[in-house]
Amino acid sequence: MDSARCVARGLRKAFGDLVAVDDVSFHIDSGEVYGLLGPNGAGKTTTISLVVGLLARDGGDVSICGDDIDAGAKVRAHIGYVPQEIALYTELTAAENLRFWGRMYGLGGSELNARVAEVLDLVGLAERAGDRVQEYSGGMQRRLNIAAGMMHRPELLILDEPTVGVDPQSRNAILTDVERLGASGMAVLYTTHYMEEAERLCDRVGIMDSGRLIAEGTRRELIGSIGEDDRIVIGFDHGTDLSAATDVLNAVAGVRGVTVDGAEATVLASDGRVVLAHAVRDLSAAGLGVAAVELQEPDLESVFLHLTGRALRD
Amino acid sequence: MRAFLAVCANDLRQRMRDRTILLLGLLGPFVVASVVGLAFGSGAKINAAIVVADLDHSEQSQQLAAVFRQEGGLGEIVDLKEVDTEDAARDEVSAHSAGAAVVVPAGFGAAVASRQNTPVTLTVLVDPASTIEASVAEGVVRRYLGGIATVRLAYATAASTGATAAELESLPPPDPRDPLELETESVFQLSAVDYFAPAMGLMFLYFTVLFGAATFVREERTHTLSRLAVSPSRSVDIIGGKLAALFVIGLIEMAVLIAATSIVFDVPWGGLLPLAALVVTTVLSAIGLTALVSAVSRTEEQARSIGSAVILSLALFGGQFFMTAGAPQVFLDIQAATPTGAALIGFTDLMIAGGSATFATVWWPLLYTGLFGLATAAIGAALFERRMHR
Repeated sequence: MDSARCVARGLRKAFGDLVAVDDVSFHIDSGEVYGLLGPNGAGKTTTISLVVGLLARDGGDVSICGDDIDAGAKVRAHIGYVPQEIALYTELTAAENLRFWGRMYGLGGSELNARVAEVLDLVGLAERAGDRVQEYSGGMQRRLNIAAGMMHRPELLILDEPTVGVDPQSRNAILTDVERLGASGMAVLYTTHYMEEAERLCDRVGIMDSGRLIAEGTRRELIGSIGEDDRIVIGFDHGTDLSAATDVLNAVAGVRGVTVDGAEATVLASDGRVVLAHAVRDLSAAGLGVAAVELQEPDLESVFLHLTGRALRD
Repeated sequence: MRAFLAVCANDLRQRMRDRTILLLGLLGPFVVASVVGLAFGSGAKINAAIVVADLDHSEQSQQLAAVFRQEGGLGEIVDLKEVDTEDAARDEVSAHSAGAAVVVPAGFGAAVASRQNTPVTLTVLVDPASTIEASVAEGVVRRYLGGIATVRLAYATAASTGATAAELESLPPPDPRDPLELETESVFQLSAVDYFAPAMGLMFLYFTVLFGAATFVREERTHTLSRLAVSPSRSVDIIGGKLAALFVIGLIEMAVLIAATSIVFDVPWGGLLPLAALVVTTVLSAIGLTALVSAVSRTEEQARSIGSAVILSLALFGGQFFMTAGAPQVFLDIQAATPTGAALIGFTDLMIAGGSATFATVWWPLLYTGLFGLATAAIGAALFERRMHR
């Protein structure tokens, strides 16, 4: 069986003269968390709307679990959709909301009740199940919003900026939930403009800008594609022989250069984490006292900057 | 079907938690109809206080006064007081003790009996605030004077064609009673509460249901509609379920109004089956308009504004604010062309027909409101469905 849960090819959507999505293609496999990273207005939400069939496409096609998205209502049963907004009935309780969304996906009876309890437990809201959603904090509403999308155990969960406007604690809880879902074998399409979220959650990332997918790959592939080295900044104890230290560092495999400034040496390396371990080991073996170490890796922000000339949050 | 029921139940649950529904939908029409009932005497029939000052004391003047006392006719609604002088009649009207007074001058009977061109004078004194009494008094007087003119014309025609004196004498005198019986029966059988119970009920029904349009649009803003659109449910089930919830609320609202006004004010709603059918088609007409307003409104504020404008216009032209008996024909035609007006005509016709009411009694309001509801619901739902998948 094909493991692709979502395949989008050549998606295009224009609103008048504005081309919101331009020839966007990607695929998401079972158990994969795929991130669409880009600044506000990049076309992420429009892309999602095209994938789920909320917007009519001007071009391209979408298949979900092997079936064309236009094939009918049954195809949409594979999708769990979590919009950016709190798409819940705030006058109703959390349990009533989940029961309703479960029914809309064909659940009923004891199966429905069991699933409501299970999902509430999963997102840590079991004790507040009987409270009206309007009494929830923003973070709790966000988590319930995600829970509603998971009620029917979808094969593809689509999350559109699910952490916008939430406190750090709730954000962390949401990210943990998503990590757990990815680990459970669910395919996840996750849009965000937070670089750290994409780095933490996503197996592969597609970077969007001005409606186009300008780069795609794993974090390491994307960073590798721009050719920037990791930087390791090493601080030495007072009186350390910096010349000897430079020689030791230059001898470590993978080091591309060493510069010394005061009591600090900056090492450029293609794989900073590996080089760092070897460098510290060799410096210690040579009796050279290391006072502090900092690894500075290029990130997806650097990739976006490299590709567009702009910062991700501009 | 499962999705349809789920959406309907979910919407009902939300609406029932909205206290404005309870206030606006259930208490509103009952309170307004009650206030109107109190203003007109706790649900009693219309009581028109009219004074007759008979200064002539002739057979003809007594005949005229008797019209106001006629059993089964004006006597059912007119509280007649007879006084001896014009000043006394004027005092009664000035003091608002009577809404109108008819002054029959001395010589009136002789003038009528002469059948010549002797002037016949009757004076009607009216309180401008008492339109019903004024209409009744003026109506009686005009009819009577019209009858005299008819008899005189017949007399003159017969005389000019050579009729003998005996033949001329045999021509019937003007009789004020006959032509007035029909009018009293057709116009004044309903009390104010009888009329305003369905009138206010219709207006509040449309308020409750049409404000549902705002909740449709709100679901678009809060993206629950998007979420519904992405679910494996057909649009027709989603939109249909939402309209069905409003339909149920509308039915409950009308049922409560009918039961409450029947018990408290003895409002005679007429035969149960045709009444039930008319309630169903009337609620359907409100649902159809809701679908249409939802489809053309981009924001909740817009839905409320358009809804309010539609409701007030329909109430104005549909006769919800005032009793339309005696209104110009053009207004009555406009009233019949509005769904609320057609429904109100249906409800009042059922009341007038009483126990003998059948579906035939209200076939036109049934057909009109039903077709109006189905057509507008279909158009509105189709337009709204296009918005769900742009």
